[in-house]
Amino acid sequence: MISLKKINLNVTDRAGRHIMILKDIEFEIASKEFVLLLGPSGSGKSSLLSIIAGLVRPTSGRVEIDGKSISQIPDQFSAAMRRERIGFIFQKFNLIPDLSVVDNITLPLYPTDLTREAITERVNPLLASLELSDMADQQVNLLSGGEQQRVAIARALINKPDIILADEPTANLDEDLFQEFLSILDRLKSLGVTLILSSHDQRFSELDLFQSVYHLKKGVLSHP
Amino acid sequence: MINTKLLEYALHSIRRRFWQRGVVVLIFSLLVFLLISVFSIAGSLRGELLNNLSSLPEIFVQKIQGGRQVDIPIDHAFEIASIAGVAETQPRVWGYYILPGTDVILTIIGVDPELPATIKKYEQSIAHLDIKDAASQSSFFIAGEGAAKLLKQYGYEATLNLYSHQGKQIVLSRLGLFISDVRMETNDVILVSENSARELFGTHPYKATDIVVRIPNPNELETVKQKIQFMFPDTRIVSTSDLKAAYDHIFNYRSGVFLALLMTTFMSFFTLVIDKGSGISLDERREIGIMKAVGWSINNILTIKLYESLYIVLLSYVTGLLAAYIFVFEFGAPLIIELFTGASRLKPELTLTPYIDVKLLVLSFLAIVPLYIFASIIPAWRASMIDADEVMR
Repeated sequence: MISLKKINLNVTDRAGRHIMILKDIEFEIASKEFVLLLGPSGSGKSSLLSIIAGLVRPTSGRVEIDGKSISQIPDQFSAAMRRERIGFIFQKFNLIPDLSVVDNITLPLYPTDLTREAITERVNPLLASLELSDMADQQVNLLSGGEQQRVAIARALINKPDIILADEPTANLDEDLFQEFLSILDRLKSLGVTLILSSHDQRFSELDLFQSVYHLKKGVLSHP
Repeated sequence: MINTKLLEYALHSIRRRFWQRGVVVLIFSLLVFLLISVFSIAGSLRGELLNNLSSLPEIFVQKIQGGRQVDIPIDHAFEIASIAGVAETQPRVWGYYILPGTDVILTIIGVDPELPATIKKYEQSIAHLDIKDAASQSSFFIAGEGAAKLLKQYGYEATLNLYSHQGKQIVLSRLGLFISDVRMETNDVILVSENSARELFGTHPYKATDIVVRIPNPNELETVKQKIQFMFPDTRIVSTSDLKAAYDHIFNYRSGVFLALLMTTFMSFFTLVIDKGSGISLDERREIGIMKAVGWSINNILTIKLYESLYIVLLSYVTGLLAAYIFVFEFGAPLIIELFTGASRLKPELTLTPYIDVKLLVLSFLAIVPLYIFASIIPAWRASMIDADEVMR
């Protein structure tokens, strides 16, 4: 279970002004739940996902995963937590352009104790299921948007996470690729993972895939 | 313990930025190359000269007239030999000889093969030769190995034709080679009979070029020098320690000039390092952000940066070191050596003796390697301290 308790995030801009990004965010997500976080651009969705992943420390409040706070833990523990439990699909995919498909997918596994053989055993079925086998050794900057997104999804899944965070995953995709992404979400559901997906795309709210839908506007969360 | 997967990633990262890293390797290698080359040449020359000095007698006595060196009467040697503390004196007949029509300068030394002093001085060098045979024929020459090679280039192998100061031809036949650990000696020295040397340089039978004096106890050196000076006020007395001081002056001066030049190079290098330390490219910052987002710790990121910088700096160091060694000791350090020896094209050319100064290697390693590693790791550490979220947007 993921619990967000009184999360506030304030930043200071270059002019020295304090800007409120998130205000008193509080909600809970059950294990294997699919949660949709809807909101316009600049509403704080990405910041909230980064806080849940332990990439950003909130100004106040805390995030707990299975009862353990992850908001103020040292870097090595939050890194280990991300590596072992979280898969992150970013808005702009955030792939390393001059690395191959395989190297991008296996990036989270470099700091682990897994052998090269174990990594190969793990990556091959993933390549096959996302139809990336033929382009395994290709540099990702040569791939289409849809292919890059599949690589980003494969990278989020390679560490067998139980929590997946997807930040505007369809922002750069056309209708066909949107539908393809939905079929991938179906597959994720069957894997029994917890998913938090943030988007401004209202089409997601029409799906019965999500158990909970939250709206975020100017850093304030509301439950419809 | 080395994490092989992180090492693999670091090496892959270098390959991906081949040109960018290649330039750094090139600059570093060049710097190490220059540094090691210059100090190796200086060290080798200094070592060779000191080795040469160690084979020389303790004192040389020269007669000075009108500020110039002139031949010294041989009987001075007997009087000097009577001074307490002097073990042995020997008048020498020697001089420089320019091979006509060439730019070859030879050092011709007259020796009397029957004199015990000669046998002692050259016992190692000419032990393989039949000295008695040499004594029976006065028109012999014994060449150092380097000198023999040089003479061969000008057609002199079994015989050597020299011309006396009066233009008379002196034909000498080769008795053999003499061997010495001092390469400067073997490079240009030709031993001939004392009579041939006298004829060649026009030295009077009762005179010599100089007198060498052996003083076994170094504590008595200064006293003996004073006594000789008192006995013969028109002489100049040069000790090997005076020569050593003179050589040291020359090398300290020339090394100082190079040090100044190298300081300029180092300044450029430091500027590069500081420039590098002030930040890393946007792509690299973004890559660090992605790594953090997918579960790399700051420690993991710094580890690959350490591997990467270690690989680059060690590769540069070894490349520069090997290149310098080959350049100096295989190819004779063309261009650079002229800055030490002067730009004259006089022959025989000096061959540098391989020389490794461990202190120099350690110092240059410590001056370059840690600096680059810090300069690589600090910006990576700074980038990894920024929120991954901020770097990736």
